[in-house]
Amino acid sequence: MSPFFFFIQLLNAIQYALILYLVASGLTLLLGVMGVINLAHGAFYMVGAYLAFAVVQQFASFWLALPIGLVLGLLLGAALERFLLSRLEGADHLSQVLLSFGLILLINEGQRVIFGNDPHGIETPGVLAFSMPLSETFAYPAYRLFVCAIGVLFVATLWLVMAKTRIGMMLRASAENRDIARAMGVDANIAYVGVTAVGIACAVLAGVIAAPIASVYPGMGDQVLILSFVVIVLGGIGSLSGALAGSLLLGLVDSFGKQFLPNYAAFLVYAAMIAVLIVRPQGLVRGGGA
Amino acid sequence: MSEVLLRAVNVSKRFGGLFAVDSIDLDLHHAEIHAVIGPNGAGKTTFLATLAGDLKATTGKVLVMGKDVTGASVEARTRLGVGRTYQRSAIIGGFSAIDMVRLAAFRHKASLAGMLAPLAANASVSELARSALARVGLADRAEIVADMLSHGEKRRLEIAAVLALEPKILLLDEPLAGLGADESRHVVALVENLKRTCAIMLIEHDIDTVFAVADRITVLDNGRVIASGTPAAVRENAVVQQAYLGLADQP
Amino acid sequence: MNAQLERIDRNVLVVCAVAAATVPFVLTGYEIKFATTITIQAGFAVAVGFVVGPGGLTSLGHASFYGLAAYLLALTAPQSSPANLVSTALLSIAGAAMLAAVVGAISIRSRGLYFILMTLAFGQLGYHFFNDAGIAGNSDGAYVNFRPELILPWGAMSFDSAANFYWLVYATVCGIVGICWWLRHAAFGSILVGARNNEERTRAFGYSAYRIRLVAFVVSGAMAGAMGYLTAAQHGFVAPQLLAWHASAIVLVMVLIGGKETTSGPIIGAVLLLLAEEVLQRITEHWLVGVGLIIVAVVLVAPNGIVPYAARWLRIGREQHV
Repeated sequence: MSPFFFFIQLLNAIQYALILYLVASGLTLLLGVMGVINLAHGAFYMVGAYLAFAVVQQFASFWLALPIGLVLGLLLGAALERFLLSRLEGADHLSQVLLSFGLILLINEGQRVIFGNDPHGIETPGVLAFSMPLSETFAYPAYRLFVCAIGVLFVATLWLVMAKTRIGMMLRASAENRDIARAMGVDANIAYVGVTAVGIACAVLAGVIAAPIASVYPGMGDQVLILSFVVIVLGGIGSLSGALAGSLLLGLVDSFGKQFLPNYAAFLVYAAMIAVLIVRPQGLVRGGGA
Repeated sequence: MSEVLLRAVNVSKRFGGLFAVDSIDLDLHHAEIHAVIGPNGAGKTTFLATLAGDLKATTGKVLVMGKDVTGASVEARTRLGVGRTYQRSAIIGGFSAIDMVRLAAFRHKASLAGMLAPLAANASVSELARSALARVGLADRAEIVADMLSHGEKRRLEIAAVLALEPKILLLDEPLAGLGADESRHVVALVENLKRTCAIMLIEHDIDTVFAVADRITVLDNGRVIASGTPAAVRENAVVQQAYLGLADQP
Repeated sequence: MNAQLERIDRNVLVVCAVAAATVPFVLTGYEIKFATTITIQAGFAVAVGFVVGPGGLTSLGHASFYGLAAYLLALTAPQSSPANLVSTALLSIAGAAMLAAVVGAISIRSRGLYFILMTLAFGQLGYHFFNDAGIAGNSDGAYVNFRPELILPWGAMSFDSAANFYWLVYATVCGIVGICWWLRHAAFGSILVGARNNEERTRAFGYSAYRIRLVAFVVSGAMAGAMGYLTAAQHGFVAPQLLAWHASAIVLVMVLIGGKETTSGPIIGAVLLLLAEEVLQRITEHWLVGVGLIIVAVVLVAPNGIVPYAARWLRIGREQHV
């Protein structure tokens, strides 16, 4: 196995991991800060992908899908919190699980109503539709590098916000202990709407960005959802750095697993998750509350 | 001196950098009431939790009937004869008073056949439950759902349940808190009565009661023992007077 | 459970049992088959309801026990003759119970969200095992060519007719409901519910919450397996989708709709959901939208389920007449 081959798989793993992290970070914040388990998170990822498809069809521009996706994601997230999640304040996990499951059905079927059952592809946006040569025989698609760059930018921004700003500090406090956060003057309602809006927006954007790489098909949110949960469990509920570690781990397992053990890649992912939970129930990175 | 039923040896409980409980030695003797007093935050409830099993001691040993239970679960310690009440009355929501006491009473009579029959059908369990309820004066409230009872009744219900366990060691965390004068007297009488069959550890804020019933007193402050001995000795202890009892008796 | 709810629960169960017993006499072949499907799903829902309700454990992976039992029949049934009902059913149920024991032993150590996610992971593990490993046709699924038959001393009893098979399913579900009711009202159920309502206090009475939950989980898994076995026998076909988390979520929906507190709730939930699906499917090809709306509505309006909701409503009605 040549070093370039290895390097390409590594790049694939990182790109995969960063998209997964974009989705999982929103999910873990929702779980950690609000104690809400949102199964529909993957469906919003799908919304992003189909949005990109629709925008490309209508306006022949991929880049337009990014700001539209952001705004749509924020609005959907805020609406989700205001109209549905807030009604479930204090409800048990079963209610949350089922409410979000109902949402999945609505969103998935809604997509079928609008777009039909066929999978679609989106062409890589023109300006990035080339491959960067790495050596005489190996080249890597520029768009994937772009995704990696966006991902790194996202990780850095999120870290900055959480570690260095007041908002970040309040969110971290809320994740640790909601009562203390309230005593510190964090307005729970605003925080919840904000967290949900941003979390959903991240999922939608992830879908937009991933669309040119993966094809756009019905039910594509399910896989991402499950993987996001694996990531969160590995990293610890509520932990962003844990979600990053989990995403990278899964990226590596997926990328290299597909090469060497294609039939068992998925199996390995879940087995790893269970193994981690047996040994360290609170996750690899830190103890999350549950 | 009577048998030591529970022994705490150098028990400490650390949370991060903070020692909530620091190197405590304490013995509970059969037929004795050993009161534990101290200001708020002194670590009394935390200490009790390490004895009962809700928390595991960071260092030190807890021995029940000579057996090392330092790492044992709550249920394992209960099976050895430990009974305890909680600072906030722990009743089981949705259960009637008698059903909750039956659940406790069933513990020692549990058998596979018993598990598959309704709790109420077991005659000896019901009898034990009813007599426990009668002892705390709740006989006529037996069928009421526990959530509906008054605060004082909930406390008494908890005690009835613990009675039904027929424990040899009783750990009581502020059993008189929130009780009216009559109820308090009733409970105090109950506790003194129980002394005959148990070793009792009593956490209480009501100093008069403590000095009236305790055979032995340990004073905690900041997680440490600052004095331990007979009530008279503790009363005279200057350190204790300064830290806790107040200087009311000083000229 | 208060006395009134218990009385309503018992009455609903009796009504269901009587109504279900009339099915082979008043319905036609196709309708009997549909009723069979509903009855199997009702049994599955009751099994899941036992751990979700009294057990307080939200399991997102119960379909794996259901599906494993179904696959075990497909794997052990002979290609060209009917399988032996007793031996294959015992094997399927035992397999489901063992898987439930493993999953439960590991998952029940965790609380709340972590428990849900662990059951989800195990469920997915099961799905991918049958979908990727090449053991039973992967995504194509596998067939059960002949319905199992019961070997009696004087001959074999076949369940090929819709009515005969329905009676088999009916009897099994009655058994499941009976076991759940019995355990719920026995000391076992009291300990289980005590652990759910106040785990601290119940453990302080000397009971191991872990162990009682594990036993409930395994019993529930075995019952789910029995239903999986029957579904494989009914359709003669098994596919990995039987174990997917969507399937686990749907049965949870049935429990939610009917109510997890009662033994009859999940039955009502299964009946209502499947009837609604049937109606919706005739109206539009996008009937899943209707299902989604039903779920969201029930969660927001009657999160404890329809049976308790109706019970409260009836009680209010009764008070007004006094």
